Amino acid sequence: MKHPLISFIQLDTLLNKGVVEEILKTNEYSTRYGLILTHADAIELVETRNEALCANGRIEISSATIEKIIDAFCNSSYITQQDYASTLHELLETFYYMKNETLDSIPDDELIELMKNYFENRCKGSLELLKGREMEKLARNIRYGVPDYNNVEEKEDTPDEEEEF
Amino acid sequence: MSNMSLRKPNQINPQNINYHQFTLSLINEGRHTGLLTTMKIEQIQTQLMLLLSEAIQKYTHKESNSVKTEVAQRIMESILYCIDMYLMHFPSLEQSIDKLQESDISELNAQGLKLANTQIEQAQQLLQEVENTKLSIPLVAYIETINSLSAFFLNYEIKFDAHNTIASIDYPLLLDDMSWTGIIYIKKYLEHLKLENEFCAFFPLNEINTLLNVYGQKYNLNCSDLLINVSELVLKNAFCSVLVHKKADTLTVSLEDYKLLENRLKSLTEHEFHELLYSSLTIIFKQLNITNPALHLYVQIYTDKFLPQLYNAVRDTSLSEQIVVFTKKAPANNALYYKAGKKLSDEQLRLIIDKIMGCQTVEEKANIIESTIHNVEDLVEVFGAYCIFDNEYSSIFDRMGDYELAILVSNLLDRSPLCNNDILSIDHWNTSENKLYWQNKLIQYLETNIRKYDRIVQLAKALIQF
Repeated sequence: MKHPLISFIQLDTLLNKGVVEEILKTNEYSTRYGLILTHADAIELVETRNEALCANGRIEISSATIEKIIDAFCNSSYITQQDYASTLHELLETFYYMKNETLDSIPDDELIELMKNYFENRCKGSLELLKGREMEKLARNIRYGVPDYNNVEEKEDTPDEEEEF
Repeated sequence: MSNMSLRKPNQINPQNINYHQFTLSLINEGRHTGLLTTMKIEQIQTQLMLLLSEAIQKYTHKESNSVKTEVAQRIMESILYCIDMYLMHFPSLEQSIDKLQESDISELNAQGLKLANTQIEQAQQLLQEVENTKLSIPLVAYIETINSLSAFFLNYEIKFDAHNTIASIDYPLLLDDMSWTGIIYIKKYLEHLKLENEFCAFFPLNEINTLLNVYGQKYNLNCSDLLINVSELVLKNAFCSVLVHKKADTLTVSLEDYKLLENRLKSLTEHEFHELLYSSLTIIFKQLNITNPALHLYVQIYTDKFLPQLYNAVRDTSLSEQIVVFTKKAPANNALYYKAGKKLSDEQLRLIIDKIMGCQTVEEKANIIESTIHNVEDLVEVFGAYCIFDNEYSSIFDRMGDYELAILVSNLLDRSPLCNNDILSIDHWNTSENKLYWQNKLIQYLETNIRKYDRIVQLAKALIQF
């Protein structure tokens, strides 16, 4: 249920004003990589963003995150025009889920950068691996206070000293 | 004819204004009366959203565009709290709505923040005055609340959490409107507490402390743990004193006084009762030379509330619940140490023992014991910790009640069938040296007063049987 104060300012209506236009502006640079969003795609992305925010109990007063994700991922060799919009939907959902799971401790830009890095290198374009493996490890590292939390590589168990003997 | 029909069509109905959501209710009323156009309301909504967006950016240090909904709600409430504060400071609702009509929301917020900062400064000044006039009474809630108010100013976050009252306020006031929050509440609380300190200062401190002790005994509680308002006890007993023609600053109401008072009041009509009480209040003010009009008003408002209670109490023959009657002479500072289940941790006990060791006088030591030790096992630990010496034990035993002494003595009764168990003895074989020391001191202490010795031993025997 929405808080009366948030309802009063009619956040949903006001937030969606001009957002679609802002998203469509990203086509200007994504076309360089052969990726384009239609007007319908942009509307659906706004809907997904709103649903993801609501599902994760968050509020955002701008379209900055969608644009940042497009900006970071549009040059990926693993994304094609065919799955461009659907990938963005999943990335948006993953992003807001991870904001909560990482206890809001990672800035937006850094989180998007880490997502892109894992997506490109460790997951080879697999969204399942990104969500189910890398992001979960990242969240666990944050929760356990691991200093190099962004290092999600499996650590090999060092043999006990006794075993060496 | 109702007030509604007399109101002009564009006039604000004050009954529709909620002072705890002032801006929102003003906007709603503006919409209903047509004083605010739909376009203006939409403009306000957009400006509020922009303000919230800017605040979120500041809150996250521009590191995150989204926040948890609870955080956004809190920030929004904080913004509206400051705007409320500014709009409420105008003398009329019409002026408030005019300001809302003509100003930008960010401007109203900025003015609100400025006003809130001024209120913080004024409240800090008030706290200083409260600390300067603080009563020397052992009420933990009173002492801790004043300490916690200092912490409020360190933790209060005006930009993102202005509506939050981040203080642990346990001490109840005579008049306390808890529907307010944030700095508005704290300032009101301090204003009232200052007036109450001023009021109590007109009464002898020892009388106030004795009153608290007797009140504690009445309910079998340690007076330092009481969650009561001192001014209330003082005022009620002062009323009684004046009504039985004693001096207003005499807080001791004896059983005879009480009976006299009861007889006098029960024959009065409600009107006569009111007149008598208000004339008594005037006498209190006059006798004590209370001239501060703010204090007059404060006490009068409380009296308005208290009067029906007192009248009903007289009718229900429960007057004794409203006032503190001194049924017998109370020993000074007779604290109840034993309260099952409140044992301190080893660390806490260590700290207290260290504190006692650092004391220069036995009074300081006794005060620490009274205010911190509430368990007989802890008391025994303290007695055996070599932090109390020689005659100091007698002074501390003097301040203890019969019941506490009996608990200590119950372990010293010789329960052998061959022995007269009215004799106190120490089991030298099974008692550690440190325990031996204070137990000897206790026996010596009791032996100097044979009546007390008998009384305590009888009580200890009853405790063992129980």
